[in-house]
Amino acid sequence: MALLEGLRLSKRFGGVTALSEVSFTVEEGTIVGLIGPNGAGKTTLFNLVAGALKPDSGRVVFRGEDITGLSPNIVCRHGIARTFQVTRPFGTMTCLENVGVGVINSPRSESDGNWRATALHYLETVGVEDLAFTEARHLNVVQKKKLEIARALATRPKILMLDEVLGGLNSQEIVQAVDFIRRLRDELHLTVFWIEHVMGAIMKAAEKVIVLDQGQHLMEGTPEQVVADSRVIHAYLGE
Amino acid sequence: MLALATMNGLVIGAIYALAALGVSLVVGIMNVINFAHGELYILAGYFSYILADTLGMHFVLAMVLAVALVFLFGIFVEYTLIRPTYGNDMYSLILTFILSIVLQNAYLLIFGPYPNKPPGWVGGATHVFGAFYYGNQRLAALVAGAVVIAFVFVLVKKTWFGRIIRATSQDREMAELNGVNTTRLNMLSFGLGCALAAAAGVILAPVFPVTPTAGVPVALTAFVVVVLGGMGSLWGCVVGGLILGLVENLGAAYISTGYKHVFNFIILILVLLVRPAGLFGRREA
Repeated sequence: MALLEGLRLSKRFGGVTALSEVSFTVEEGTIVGLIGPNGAGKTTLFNLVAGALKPDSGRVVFRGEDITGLSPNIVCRHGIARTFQVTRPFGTMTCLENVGVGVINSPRSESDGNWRATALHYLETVGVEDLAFTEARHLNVVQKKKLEIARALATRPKILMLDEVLGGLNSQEIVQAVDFIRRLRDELHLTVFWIEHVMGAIMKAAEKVIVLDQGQHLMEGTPEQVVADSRVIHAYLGE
Repeated sequence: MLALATMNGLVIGAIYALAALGVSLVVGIMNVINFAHGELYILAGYFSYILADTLGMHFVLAMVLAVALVFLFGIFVEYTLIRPTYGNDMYSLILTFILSIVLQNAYLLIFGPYPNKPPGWVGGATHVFGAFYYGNQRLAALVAGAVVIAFVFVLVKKTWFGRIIRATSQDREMAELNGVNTTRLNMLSFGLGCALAAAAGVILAPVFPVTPTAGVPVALTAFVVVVLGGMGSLWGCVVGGLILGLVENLGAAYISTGYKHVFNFIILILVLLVRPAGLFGRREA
């Protein structure tokens, strides 16, 4: 069944149409890739779902509930977490405190008398527990990405939205990261909605791929169908 | 004379630090400059005067109540004047500037231009360092100021409310995405900022009586302290406040009382020439 659904979402910035009547579904328990050339509207779509932007028209439905235009903190409490292309840790706070912000504001925070233990648990999940008492600004790129995922997980999401989480990683790190995200999905019963430019990773991880081009829903299908589709090749490579 | 001026500098410096902490908190979290900060400082002085002098309450109860009332007034101001202006810093600047003028004139109308002074906490004087006699009331003000500053540090560094404050002032959008209700946080922090001005007001009012416009130089100095110490830095507020308090009093003692505020700005200019982000400011901030 569809966990997350977008219905004819449109968004304009001034005269520029970033998204035009885009509909999509993300099924529960799957990894869904969102791809498209630069400027296709992928991040705008994420922003509409997460509440950072309000759509001009269209609706966002999550677990059967209309969440269109709710503020980001409410959307978060519904069970939607996202990470950013460029990681944004709270630099002068320790990793433990960073993750703790998610813990304390998650819907089940009342039961978390000991937020430190819960935060540490999520740091262990992503494998940066050694850095619990290090200020986040001292972390390297890979560690920051892991921290951002830990912080997102701490809000107890049903769906994790990843925005180009593999950017800046080398090929070996990419293989590890893809394995890690699949493992997360299986162990935490998550759904993953994933913007990615590294096509190899999406091919390996995703069950379904949605392709956007110039603000329009171009096509969707299995990774094999998508890479074989002439419209997709055309969108990426031109004539 | 040196020792006496230093003591005076410490007392007034602690109060500047307290007032600056309130400004810094509100600027850091909401990016709002509250021009009526000094008038709230005075409001708390008047409240404690009415409660303790006119109504005859115990001075501690009167002070706590005065701070609580200003906190509530701050929340009311945020809800009615600041919240509708989110996204446009200029509007809140103008509105709080108008508020400061309205309050000053309201004080003038209600209390008149005369200085009002809530009762002192303690009488007498102490022989300090075997060098000079210093008023016990001023010593008590210094201690009270230090206690409230320590309370703010614990609140911001050690509690969950403080961690959420720090997270939000670093990256508001990211904090919202992690479930922080920033609208409510704004309201509470604005109230808290006002309460810190109020704390400074009730502590200093028994030493320096309140008049309708006595808040102006305090607020002005608080803004200078925040810039001097570095935006968003708690230590910056404390060190900056003490530096300005000391410079003002030593300058007045050895050079001239007429140039009291000029010294502050000379120090500010010198510091900003060397460290544009302020003493404790981070470059990216």
